[in-house]
Amino acid sequence: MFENIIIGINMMFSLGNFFAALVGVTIGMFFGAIPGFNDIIAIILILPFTYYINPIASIAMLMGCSKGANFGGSIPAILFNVPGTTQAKVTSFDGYPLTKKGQSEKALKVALYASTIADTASDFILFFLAAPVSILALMVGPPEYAMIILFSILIIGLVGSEDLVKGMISIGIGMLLSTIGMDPTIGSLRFTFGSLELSSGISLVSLGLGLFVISESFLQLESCIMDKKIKSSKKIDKVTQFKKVDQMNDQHLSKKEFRRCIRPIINGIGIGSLMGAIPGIGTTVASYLSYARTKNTSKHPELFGKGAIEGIAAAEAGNNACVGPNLIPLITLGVPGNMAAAIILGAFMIQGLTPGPLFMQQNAPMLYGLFTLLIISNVFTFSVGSLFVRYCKNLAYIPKQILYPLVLVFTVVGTYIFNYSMFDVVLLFPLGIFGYVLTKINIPIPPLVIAFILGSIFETRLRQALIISAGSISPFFTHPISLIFLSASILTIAFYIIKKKQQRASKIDNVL
Amino acid sequence: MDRQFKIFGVLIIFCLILWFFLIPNQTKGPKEAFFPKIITIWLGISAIFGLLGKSRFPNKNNLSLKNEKKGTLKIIFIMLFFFIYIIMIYLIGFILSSFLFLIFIMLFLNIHNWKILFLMPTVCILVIYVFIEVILKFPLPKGIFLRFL
Repeated sequence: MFENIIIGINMMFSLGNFFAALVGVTIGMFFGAIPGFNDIIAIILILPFTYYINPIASIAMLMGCSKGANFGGSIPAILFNVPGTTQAKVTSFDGYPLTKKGQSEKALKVALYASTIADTASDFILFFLAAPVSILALMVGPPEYAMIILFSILIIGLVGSEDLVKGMISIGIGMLLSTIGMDPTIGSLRFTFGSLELSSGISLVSLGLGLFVISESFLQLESCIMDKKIKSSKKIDKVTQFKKVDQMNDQHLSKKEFRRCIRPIINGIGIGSLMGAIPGIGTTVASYLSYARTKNTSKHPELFGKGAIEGIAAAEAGNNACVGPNLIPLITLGVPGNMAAAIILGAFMIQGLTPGPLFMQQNAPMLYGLFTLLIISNVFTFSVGSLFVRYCKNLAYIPKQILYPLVLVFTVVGTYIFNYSMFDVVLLFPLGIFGYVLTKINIPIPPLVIAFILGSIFETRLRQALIISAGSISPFFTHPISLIFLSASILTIAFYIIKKKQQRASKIDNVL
Repeated sequence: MDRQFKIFGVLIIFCLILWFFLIPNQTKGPKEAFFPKIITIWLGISAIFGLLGKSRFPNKNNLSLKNEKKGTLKIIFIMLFFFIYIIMIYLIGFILSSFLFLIFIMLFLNIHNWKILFLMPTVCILVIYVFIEVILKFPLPKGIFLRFL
């Protein structure tokens, strides 16, 4: 292990790798700071550009983007009570009241320190836990692997959906789209309708950009058309008003105040790391739990929600501590912990690498190089974050009429340079409209993309397991790990149905 | 007809088309058809549950429907612009078509400040050109007409 770490660190030390991580962090922070965008859109937007760089730089760029967006989301949440990302909602509970008191820079500093510290700690957890977990993962064969992927698709897909049926439909469509192109075991063509371009299937870049970015741009432009009456000038007045108040107040974060944040940060690291390592839970839940735990154990819980810096620290530490451990199930089992990790899995596959039980053994030096770069990239998060705190507060108010047309153009460039294929660019249009329609009828898109990424792996493992057992499905029920995950999948659906029924019942009670 | 009935009904019809026409015609044997058939069953069962169950698609009141119709009409134009933009890239290349697309779409979205209208597309395209084609050396689409110039 020690030898692999040394080789990995040597592999990692190059200007190109550092630059890639820095670019990732900056782009992530930029998109995170703009409401309507999030870490997933930012990662998908830069995904095509990573195709041409080495795996360490490519994954570090995407992970850097995720880290940057996680912090970036807190900037508009603190300044304007408009969270840039969903997980940043919790940060606004105390961040916005602090802004109203004229201490926005202090709030942003707390968020930045907490994010960076938690992120660094979570990267160390990844560094030291990935190898031991990968040894356990070697016990996994095709039937177990198929059931783990099924469980992963279900849990990630359903946790984010409001409705079981719609989540299942989204997963089904994603898996169906993954079957277009070459059959993964035999190699014959399926659903290509005679098109040569479709023989290698729909590219992840076209699908991701079309369904997430193009459809989101259409939706945002539509909302911009409908909300024409809301003039941005009012909001700008609000910003300048806060600026005036800010200038009169003390923005310095004292040592005493920082010491008050240490316990919430430690809470956040513990909760976030645990939540990050479990597939499907995600950053939003982690930041809520971390905030709730800190509030419940605080001597002054009454101050929470009114501008307590501990609240900001807990929320930010909770969501950022998920980033590193999220890679543990991905690297050791090939199972992504959330949507961002699913896209990073796609990026590994684009680079010709397939994460799974043997991945850590076969690529240990490269992975240790990557982990080290992730730890170092926190320095970039801190430095770029400090600049954003000072100079980029108004990113949230870039007019949508200017921003989204530019995004459409950047999306087209990104898609084209990925394969130099106009076919991929043309696909953006139907996929964008498809994403728009799905959003309009409330069918969630993330399960579709996750099922698309995992669909071909699931099919390969399922068919391998059936070939080994001569067509019998008994291995899925007789192998202990497979049975555990099959039962967990069924329990997930059952739990989901019960939870939704309870929510409906409580809603009806509230109405009555 | 109920919106829910329509959407799940369409999905069931799609599953039937998949099962009886697309899978037999677009796959070469039972092994290749195995997984698509499982997914079709998955989708079909989900759609049936949707029809029988309590899944609801958003129902809107008349006022919000009226507002949405206005927005939807305009967004259809934007989608159309985007489609024309993609065709124009194929014909006249990326740079010229992107410049025209950005100006038209911003005009359509009521931006009448001429400085913004011309400065934004110019800066954006210049940045893309310098970064992608000059620094990274990735060729941008030239278009079938301009390729021969």
